[in-house]
Amino acid sequence: MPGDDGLRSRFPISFRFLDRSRTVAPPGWSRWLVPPAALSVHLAIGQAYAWSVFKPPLESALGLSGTASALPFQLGIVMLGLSAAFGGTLVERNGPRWAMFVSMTCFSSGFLLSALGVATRQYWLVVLGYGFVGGIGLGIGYISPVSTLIKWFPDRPGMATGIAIMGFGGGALIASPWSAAMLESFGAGAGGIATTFLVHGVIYALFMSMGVLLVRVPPDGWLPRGWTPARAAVRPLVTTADVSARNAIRTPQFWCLWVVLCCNVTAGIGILEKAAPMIRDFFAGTATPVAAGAAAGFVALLSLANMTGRIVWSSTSDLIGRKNVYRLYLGAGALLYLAIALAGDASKPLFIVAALGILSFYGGGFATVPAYLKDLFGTYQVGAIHGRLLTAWSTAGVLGPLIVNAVADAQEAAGRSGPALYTTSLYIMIALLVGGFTANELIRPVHPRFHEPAAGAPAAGRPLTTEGRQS
Amino acid sequence: MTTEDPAATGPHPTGETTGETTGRTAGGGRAVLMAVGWTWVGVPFAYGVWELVRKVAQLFAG
Repeated sequence: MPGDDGLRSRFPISFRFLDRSRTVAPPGWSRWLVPPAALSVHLAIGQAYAWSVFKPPLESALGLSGTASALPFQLGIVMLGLSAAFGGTLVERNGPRWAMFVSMTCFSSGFLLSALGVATRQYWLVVLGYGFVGGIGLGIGYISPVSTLIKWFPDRPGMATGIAIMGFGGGALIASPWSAAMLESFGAGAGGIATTFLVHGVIYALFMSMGVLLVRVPPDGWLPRGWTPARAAVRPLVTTADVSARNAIRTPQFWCLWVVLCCNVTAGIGILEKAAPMIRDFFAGTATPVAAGAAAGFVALLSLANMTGRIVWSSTSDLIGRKNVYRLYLGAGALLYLAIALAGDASKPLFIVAALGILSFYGGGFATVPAYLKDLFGTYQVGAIHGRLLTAWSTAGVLGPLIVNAVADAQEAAGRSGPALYTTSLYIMIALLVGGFTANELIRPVHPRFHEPAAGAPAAGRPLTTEGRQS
Repeated sequence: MTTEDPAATGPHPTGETTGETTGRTAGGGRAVLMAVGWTWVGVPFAYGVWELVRKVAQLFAG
């Protein structure tokens, strides 16, 4: 196994419990104990999407602009992408317990540094703490359970990673009302915000520690009862070979999947970013305009669709195959956008149902991608490859809001109103989804020359590089 | 949910023995661990979903 260093440890004595070799499951260990370990990390780091709760109090307490108060979140998302991309190989080598411990330490320390920053009115410390240090915790935490879950659930990888990645969506649902209640209780001044950050740091450390203690990797050669890799390999894209992270990024399949993820996420963010103003603008000129409270309810409903799509569609991909499920996300997603564009303000139920479908496909796209990577590249370094692929998310995070906001501003300046404000954006999203659909169609099985040599047998083709694999 | 026995389907590096009593004790301990683990993540998640459902209700009230 990669990184299984047997009796020799790379950690000091007090941290030996983090060793990959110390996390091998004992006989009788249930694989259903691994999803709660993964969820304890993802439900915590998903807090990142609830940062907006802290923006207004920070702005008034420290005299910040809206742009400045968004900095910790933006840096956090950038660090998420970078640490997932560059830390993926370390996560594979050191194992999930090490990764979860690093994530817990960084994410909690980020809150503690932020508490100190607000208490001393040194805002740079909040940016450094939550954005830089906490952002490393986000990236390492996001990929920490992926490889382990896929190894425990080779028969249902889509469902397993869907559970964890649904947790990331669920994290904001917990943090948003919880943080708001805490600010109300401690006060929205500098002292109250500092105390709130402090409590967040301590509670999240405690909550995530369950994942650190509970996570286990399966013993070498472990398989679910009655299941063999050959049973999964009947689909054309599913391989029983392994590809290293270094070789994976040299394959066209990796970059096709990068385009698929980037297009799918950009299209989803297109609605998420402007959901509340969009539904209000769309139906402003009708007999039944949408009130502010109802628009907030619409945003909440979209969050529910996003979260549900992660587990439902990802589990469905285990039954119908990864390529087919992405055909659904991208093809049906484009048709739903077209329905919104053509219907305009004619039907509110159609608008809501189509938006829910798009958001469920957005969530499904995130949750299914680790299983797609496993199908194409095997389980060997799937976590590290996933980390590198998440740069598509960072790119989409910039592209999506940029497109929708720029188009809406330009249309407003041109004197348009109602659905016309968004029509151009909707057609851009359709074009992106068609681009993603095409990239998905181009995905073929990985050429054997990229495969790692199988233990004790020559490889079908000479690998470009090997990563010192230990058997 | 199903439980899987790694020892039954693949090799185990530690080669631990599992006597009947030890197995029963471990099985009971794991059932408790399972309940604690899922409750640990399930309760906050249920709180988040409940708060979300309350907000969704505004869409139909508004």
